[in-house]
Amino acid sequence: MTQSVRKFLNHSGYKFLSLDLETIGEWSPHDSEWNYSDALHFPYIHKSFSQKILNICSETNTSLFVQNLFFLKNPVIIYQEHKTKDSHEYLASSYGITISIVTRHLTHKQGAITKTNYQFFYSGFIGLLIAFSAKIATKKNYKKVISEDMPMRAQRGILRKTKNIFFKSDKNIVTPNSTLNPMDNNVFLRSGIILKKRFILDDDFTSKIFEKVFLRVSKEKNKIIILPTICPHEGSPLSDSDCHMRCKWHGRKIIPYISFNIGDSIRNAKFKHLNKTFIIRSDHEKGKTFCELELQK
Amino acid sequence: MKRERLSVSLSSKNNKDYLAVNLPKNLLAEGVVFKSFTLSSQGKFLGKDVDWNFKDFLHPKLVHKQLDQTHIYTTDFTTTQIFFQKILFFRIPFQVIQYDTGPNSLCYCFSFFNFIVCIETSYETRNQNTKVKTKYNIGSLNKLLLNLAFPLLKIVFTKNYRILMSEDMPLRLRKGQLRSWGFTFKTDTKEKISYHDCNKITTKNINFINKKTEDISKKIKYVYKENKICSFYIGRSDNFGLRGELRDNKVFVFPRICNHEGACLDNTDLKGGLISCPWHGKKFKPIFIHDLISGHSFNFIYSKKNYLLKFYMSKGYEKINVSIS
Repeated sequence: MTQSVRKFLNHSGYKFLSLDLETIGEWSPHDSEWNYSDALHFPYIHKSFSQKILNICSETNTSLFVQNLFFLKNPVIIYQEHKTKDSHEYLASSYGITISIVTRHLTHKQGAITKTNYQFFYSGFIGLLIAFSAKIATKKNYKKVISEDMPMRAQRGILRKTKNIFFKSDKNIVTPNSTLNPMDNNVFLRSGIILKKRFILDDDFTSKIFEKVFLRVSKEKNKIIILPTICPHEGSPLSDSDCHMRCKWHGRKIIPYISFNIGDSIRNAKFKHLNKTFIIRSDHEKGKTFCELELQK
Repeated sequence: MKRERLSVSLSSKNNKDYLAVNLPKNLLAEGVVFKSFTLSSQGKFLGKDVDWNFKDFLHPKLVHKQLDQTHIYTTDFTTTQIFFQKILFFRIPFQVIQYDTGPNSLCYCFSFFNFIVCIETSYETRNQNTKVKTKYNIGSLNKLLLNLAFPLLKIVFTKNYRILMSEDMPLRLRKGQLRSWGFTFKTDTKEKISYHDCNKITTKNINFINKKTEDISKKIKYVYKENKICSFYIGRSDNFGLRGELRDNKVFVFPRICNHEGACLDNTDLKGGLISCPWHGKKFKPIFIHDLISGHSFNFIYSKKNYLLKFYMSKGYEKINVSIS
């Protein structure tokens, strides 16, 4: 529908300044699509502005953004539309000009390219001056915003390269309202991965990472806990600092899948991780404690 | 702005749409300072008519002369538009999101320059009389700037409100008039009018009464204008009333009510043989065209009734006799 607004503006005598910007990186176009649709990452990722959702539905997201511009905090209501998988369209009106933004998510060699076209619609000489300064501000702002968004896309690019995982949302359009729940699990483990590992839980044991399946078994005080190494929501990397951590992208609280005292004998305790079932066992043999992690086929 | 979980301030209407609730209060908690003032209007109509008037996003183009409008997106509970308004020498775009905040209340929100404006409208009906309260909340993150600009903004918004109301009020009063005649609307049975109910001019929202309530078979004098154009009205502006236009010895008979939302079609221009509704621009063809050279009386069927019109001539046309059976 933003097409019709541009047509209307052209018909009613508005002129525009155009600005084209692009970002290339080693991730999939799905990742930049998701990044643009995602409505919850703003308070965690973007430090330069804050966001307040006014209305969100399956095709649109209207939010209020507050941004520092010209030494003042500026509120702008931005309308976002996501009707086709490969594009996002935006409309915003402030300071007497209307800004129309069209972003396309395309493949580029092995990675992805995001092409963004800005059109600053203005009328009159003062309008031209405002549009011109908005163009300069946008150029500067784009770099800042992308530098904050880039690590998210890059992380997902790395995850894709392992060929062990996929994202549930890849098949469909990532609708703005589907991104509202940080407790959704969007990262799925591929089938065909075989894992059955047995290891000793002795005094030297601190932690063991299972890279293939993104799991970490670690010791905390007298307990063994099993945690994911990536957030099951959208795949953010999780550090091993402590067991009560929050995801840096959307603030999801990460809770251990299983925890048990060293020495407890565990028989086939099951837990779900990245849409697959894992089995954990712990037993004693010849005075030693063993632990076994298995991915159920 | 404070960082908090967003789900706190969002409410889901149908698992598809999420809306910010209590907007000015919510923003207040995040550091936005508000100053507000309330304007009100009232009249003999129902709250539903006010609700419809606010949600109907097709009428501004025709009804509000100083506004230009382009529509962006509509869901059941929200609509986003860009309004263009002339202020001094500038034509300024306002991107407005309007949404339903519950039965009998609405919220408008837009940002301009350094300000966020949340307009809360609520309406209350007592004895067929509805009072509409409109609260303007002007907010900014800069308290000094807000204090400086508020008196001027209040004048501008109040003036604008008066203009908008003077144009909107006839629409509401007309609906009140139709209700006093016993007409109802299809959207009345709904708990809430959806924005999608207002996006087509082809829908027939008015429920016509098929019983004639008053006898309109009588002699009518018609309006004479410079010996050429004259128009006459039969009955009242409901589904039995008729509007006649005389052009070059031909009589064009038009309806007096729009079947879309019930607008009165009396004072609209005849262009290219058609009249168009003053509210949404729905076009109406004549019900019947008669050439007076072939005879001074003619009959036709309208609203399942047989109309017989007789023209008496002396020094031009003077009298029309209408009988309905």
